[in-house]
Amino acid sequence: MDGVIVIQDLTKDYGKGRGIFHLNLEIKKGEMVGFVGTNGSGKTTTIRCLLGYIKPTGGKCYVLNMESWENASKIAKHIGYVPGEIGFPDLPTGTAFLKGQAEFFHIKDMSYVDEMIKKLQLDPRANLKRMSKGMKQKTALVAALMNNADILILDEPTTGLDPLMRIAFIDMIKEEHKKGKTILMSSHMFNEVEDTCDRVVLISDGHIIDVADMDKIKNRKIKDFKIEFNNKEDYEKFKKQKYKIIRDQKQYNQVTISIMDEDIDELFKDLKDYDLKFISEVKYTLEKYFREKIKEKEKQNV
Amino acid sequence: MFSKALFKQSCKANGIMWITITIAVCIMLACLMMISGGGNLGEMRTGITNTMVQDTMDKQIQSRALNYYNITDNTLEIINSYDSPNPTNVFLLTDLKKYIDEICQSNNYQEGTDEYNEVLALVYGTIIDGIDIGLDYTYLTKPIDMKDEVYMREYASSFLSSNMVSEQNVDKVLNQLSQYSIDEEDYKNLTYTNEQGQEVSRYTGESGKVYIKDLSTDSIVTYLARLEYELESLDPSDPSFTEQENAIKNALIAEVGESFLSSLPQSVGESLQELGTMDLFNLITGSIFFKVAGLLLPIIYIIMVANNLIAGQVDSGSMAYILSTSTKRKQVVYTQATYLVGSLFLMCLCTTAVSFLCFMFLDTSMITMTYGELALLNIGFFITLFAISGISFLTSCWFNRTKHSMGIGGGLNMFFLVATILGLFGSKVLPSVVRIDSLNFFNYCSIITLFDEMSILGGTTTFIWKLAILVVVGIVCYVIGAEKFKRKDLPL
Repeated sequence: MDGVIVIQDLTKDYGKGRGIFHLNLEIKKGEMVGFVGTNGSGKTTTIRCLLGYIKPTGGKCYVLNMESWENASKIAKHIGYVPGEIGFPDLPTGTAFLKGQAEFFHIKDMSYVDEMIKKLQLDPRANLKRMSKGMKQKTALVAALMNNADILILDEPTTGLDPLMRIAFIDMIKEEHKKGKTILMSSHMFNEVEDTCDRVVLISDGHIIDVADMDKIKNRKIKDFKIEFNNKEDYEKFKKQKYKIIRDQKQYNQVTISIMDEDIDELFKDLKDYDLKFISEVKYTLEKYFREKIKEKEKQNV
Repeated sequence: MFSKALFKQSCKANGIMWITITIAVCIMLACLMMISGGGNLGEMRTGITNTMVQDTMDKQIQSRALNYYNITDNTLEIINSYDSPNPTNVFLLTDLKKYIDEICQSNNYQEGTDEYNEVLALVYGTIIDGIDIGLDYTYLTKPIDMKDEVYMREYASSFLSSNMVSEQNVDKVLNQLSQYSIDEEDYKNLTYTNEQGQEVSRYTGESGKVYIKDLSTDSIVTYLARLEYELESLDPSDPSFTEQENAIKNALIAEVGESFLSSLPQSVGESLQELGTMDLFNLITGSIFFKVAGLLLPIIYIIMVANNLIAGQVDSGSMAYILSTSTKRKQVVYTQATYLVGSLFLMCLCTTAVSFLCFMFLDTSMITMTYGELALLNIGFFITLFAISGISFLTSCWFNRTKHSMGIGGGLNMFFLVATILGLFGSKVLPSVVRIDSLNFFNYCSIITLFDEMSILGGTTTFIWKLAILVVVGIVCYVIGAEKFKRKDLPL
């Protein structure tokens, strides 16, 4: 197996249809993979299986070719983990906590930790219990990155952060990615993983719906344009053209068309003859992509 | 097997609680030992016993004095029925002998017994003053008028007092008193203040003689006064006059002679007796501290810390930080168990040190406990805590939620403690006056009962196998807990 993380037919059945069922996934070295799904869809369960915290009822998952449940303590060395629910040990300050963690890792040199703290603008001297959500997340991230593990697993790391903090946080993760680390980040927000990840896995009700390659989505051959005309005649006239109309809004004299990249030139030439109010590209998002996928799946099931 | 970093973390997280609870337990132990062994309680106990003994003795003396007075009275009546009473008159002597036999028969005194001889001496002595029948008559004033009440009173009380302080009778009394755990010294220490303001012995020696004589005389005077008053209401012409007179006499004698102890219901009297023989130091230090009161704080420590060590960290999610540092679960559970047992062991070392230190300052003459027994009590204390911590550790490993771990493990342990407290009121260590036997049932539903402090203090060996059971319970709980933790799913 080439993948750093390999999930094979992984099943954890909690009964009553809850849990995860027959997941298959392979994450290559240096890849950054997003893990998207609604609350309770099985993201955290999958991550717990990967880390060897829970024993799967079926299938296996491997990290660096080691079976997770059997080798939980060995693979832990290679994984930096930021849990979804941050609960720190009963220690007075962030500094005490980070020092304690360093002791667990047998790290004597704290310069890397200090560097990260500086970069994150974190004040670890604060009382652990009274830290804000953002500070806790930062502290947890520092603890996870401390031993410079090759693999980073983050469980909804940005939940509860304000937008500015979120950007800083994501930047930090991106930087780690640039260093060549393999990253698995779960989220319930599409736009977050959209910008950062190479691939995005969509999970719903314990099943992987689709694995999307962000490259393909970003550089899609087909583009959508929304065009509004100033008068009805032009609108009616345009509708008779050969373009594929995916949405038609009569009351605004507005159409949305779908067009191949190479035809765009022609479209603009055609549009010279019309009296336009505006034209804008409708961005194709991951969310849209997944909606389509889920719709497809539902159709199949029916 | 052992994670130093985790151990350090556990010490930091629970150290303050350990220190506070250890200090509290040690102070409590020191105070209890100093109070119960300081002699105050012993003195109080002796005080209670002495008061009771003294009261009983006084009443006995008073009742006897009245008896003697009556016998003397009756004897004089016989003597006065003769015109010229003469000790050499054979008929008179035969009459007196008849009277003696009558008394002895009604009281079931066999010929030749001490009681028989006493009656004999009393009756004959009334007339044959000075005849040597082995009794001391120096206090007997000369009979001037044979019908004189004063003479009879003097005679009866002198007879009684000289009789009471004779060596032979003192020995007999001491023999009787030994059941109240009163020895010769205690008996001699029963004192009163005489006219010169000196503290003198109540029932022995010359001063005792004076005391007994005064007491007897007083009681006879009181009796006569009351008798006179009671008889006034009777009609002498009534044919049943003599019968009524006797009834009144008997009632009065019984009333005077009623002692504190015999006026109480028998069971209470017995329990007071028991109170006299009880070892308060053993009860308070052994049964109350090491088995009940001293366990409370360490059990609270165990419930909180056992939960903090495993379930609390799983519940809050902080266990993830330990496991993500490639610390094995086996290491986690082994380290945490070591911390829990180690901290309890240290706590018990502290109590051992404190109890030994206090013991050195105590007046050991009042205490039957030995250093060995004290050490065994501390060992038993540790083993009991070990078993209890096993239960809490097991539930902490078993459940992922603090509320379940604390609720079940802590609830069970608190139940054991409460059952032991209730059971204490029904256990044999308490004197029966405060014991409620039906509560002994609770002793059968608590594992703390297996810490058999009565066996340790009583010098028997049953405590060994009982403690062995506790050790097994503890080990089994720790092992099951560890195995469960290694295998279970962790929601981290």
